[in-house]
Amino acid sequence: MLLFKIALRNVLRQKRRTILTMLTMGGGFVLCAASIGWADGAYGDIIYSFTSNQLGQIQIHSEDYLDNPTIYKTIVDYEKVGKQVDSVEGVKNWTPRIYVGALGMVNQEVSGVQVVGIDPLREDSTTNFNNMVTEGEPLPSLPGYDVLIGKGLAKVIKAELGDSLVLLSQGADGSIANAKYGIMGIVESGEMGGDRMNCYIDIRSAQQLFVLDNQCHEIVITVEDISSVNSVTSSLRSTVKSDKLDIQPWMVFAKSFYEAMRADMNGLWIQLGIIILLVAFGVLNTVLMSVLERQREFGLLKAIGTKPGMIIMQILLEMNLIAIFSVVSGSVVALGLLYWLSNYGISLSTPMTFGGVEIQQMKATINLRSFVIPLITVFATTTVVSIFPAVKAARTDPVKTMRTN
Amino acid sequence: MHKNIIFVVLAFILANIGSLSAEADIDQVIEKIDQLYRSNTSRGEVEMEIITPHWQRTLRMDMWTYKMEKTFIRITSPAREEGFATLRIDDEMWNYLPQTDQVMKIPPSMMMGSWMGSDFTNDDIVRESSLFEDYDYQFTEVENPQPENLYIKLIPHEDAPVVWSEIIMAVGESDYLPVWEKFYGENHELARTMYFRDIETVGGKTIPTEMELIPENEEGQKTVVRYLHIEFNVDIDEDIFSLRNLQSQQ
Repeated sequence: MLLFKIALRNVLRQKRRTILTMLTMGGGFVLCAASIGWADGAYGDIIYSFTSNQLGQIQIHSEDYLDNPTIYKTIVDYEKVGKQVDSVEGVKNWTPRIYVGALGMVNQEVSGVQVVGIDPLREDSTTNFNNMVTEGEPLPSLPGYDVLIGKGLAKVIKAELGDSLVLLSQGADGSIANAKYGIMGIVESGEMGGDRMNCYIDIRSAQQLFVLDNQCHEIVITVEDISSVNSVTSSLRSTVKSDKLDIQPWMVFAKSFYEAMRADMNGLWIQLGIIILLVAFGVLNTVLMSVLERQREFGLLKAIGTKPGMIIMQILLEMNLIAIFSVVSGSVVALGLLYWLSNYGISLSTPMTFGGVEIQQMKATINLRSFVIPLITVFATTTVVSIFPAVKAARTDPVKTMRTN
Repeated sequence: MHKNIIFVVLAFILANIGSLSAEADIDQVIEKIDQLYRSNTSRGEVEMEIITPHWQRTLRMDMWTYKMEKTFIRITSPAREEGFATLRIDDEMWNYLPQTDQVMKIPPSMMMGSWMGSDFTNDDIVRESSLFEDYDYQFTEVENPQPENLYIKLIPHEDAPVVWSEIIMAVGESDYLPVWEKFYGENHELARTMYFRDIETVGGKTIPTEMELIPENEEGQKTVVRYLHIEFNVDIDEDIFSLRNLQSQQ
């Protein structure tokens, strides 16, 4: 307690230096906290719009489908699986899909296409699919010979609304799958690759065409809360008991997106590292100054019998006291800043694209880690940086210092 | 001294005769195989059995060929595929789709795609490469050779319209008929093997009437083609090889 009193008095004795150090530490703290909160918010938004668009946050496939997709690897009796999915808490919606490659022809123009069989009602309520139909009409709720095609594909095969699209492929029984559809809409999902390949027909038409009764290749699931993806995935795994099915969160099936995201996040950590380094140098400077200035004082303390350990403790305490002041005041500022950023955000004059998702506005989020991570970092750096000057102070030779000063 | 010179000259001549006859041999073999399924015209009935781990089906088809340039195939059974037809003129290929009454030209990018789900590619149907013209060939050795077979290695000329890096062929020594053919892909790995069986004399020619094609990287998959009936050098109306005929459902 005595040590604490001395430390406090020492800190207050040099007010200007203390305030300057607090500014360095507090500034570093606020910058770190804001960056993390900001990044978490922006990434959360990007993930949400990326996954809600088409992929969903969780997908179910037949085992091994993602590594090597073929028409034969299907989810059998998917309506039953869907009912089980519905019973899991945290699930918002699900929708089934069929994927088969085919040759598509419009007016003698032929191209390889990907036929996507969708359930029009479910697809729209799960992924807002109908919003992506930018020209013409969405698929009707009853199956027929209607097709929607991707904008890029329409360009490739020079198709217009009202043209006929002839599909040629092979059914799951080996038979020829051939049918003619009327183009009733153009789809712009924002995902270039998909828009250049995909054409969408009713899943019931697709089942008939490809001889896949009551089967699908993929079930796309959206969740209520994006941060609960992992827990919903594990409860789905225990509810839908089938070792023939793979149930995976977006981090697995959108691996490249997840990895790009993580690489981006790593860039952020490097930025934060640089901020911390600057703070550390500031702190080191302050400690060294105050130690060198007080050589005589430490000499005297040692002369009257203070143990070196006590001197080290005292200096560490002084610096950590400053750190406490900085973090408390920094938290108030950071909270205010993040609150403002999470409510109003910053609009980007030119939209940024990440993984094919357009970002118009960046908003922060307020979470615990935005405060905890900088807090731990500030205390850890302060302590580490102070140890060297503290040891130096403790080693002061009383005779020498008192004579020279 | 003279004796020696004569001996040397004789030996030289004999050696050359030996190699000459060997070259003549391989040319003959290659030409014979090249001409095996080829003639001015042919008309036949073919059965194609496709076996995959997921399904198995047998297609029957009528087939017409004209020299090396033109082929016309029309499927006669099963019912779901009846009327499906393929016309090939030189290196272009069209399919007729009876369900939608459409003719679809196969784009060049789809040439390596499967024909009717079989292990034959569209390119196999279209291919008009000639062993004689498009390949360099020489006798070769294989592991566990059969005494009744000759083995030939074929390497395509650089500009030849061929996707294989090399073909090894086993040929019967007595009849010069193919026994098997192994096709190697770009990286010199075995891509597929074709076996020739059931040698019969049909339409005036002695040919293997069954061919079995086994792809290397697809387990449990193969395609067997059988000639049920074939005639060579018959009169064929050239109109058969027209888009108009393709579209007319016989």
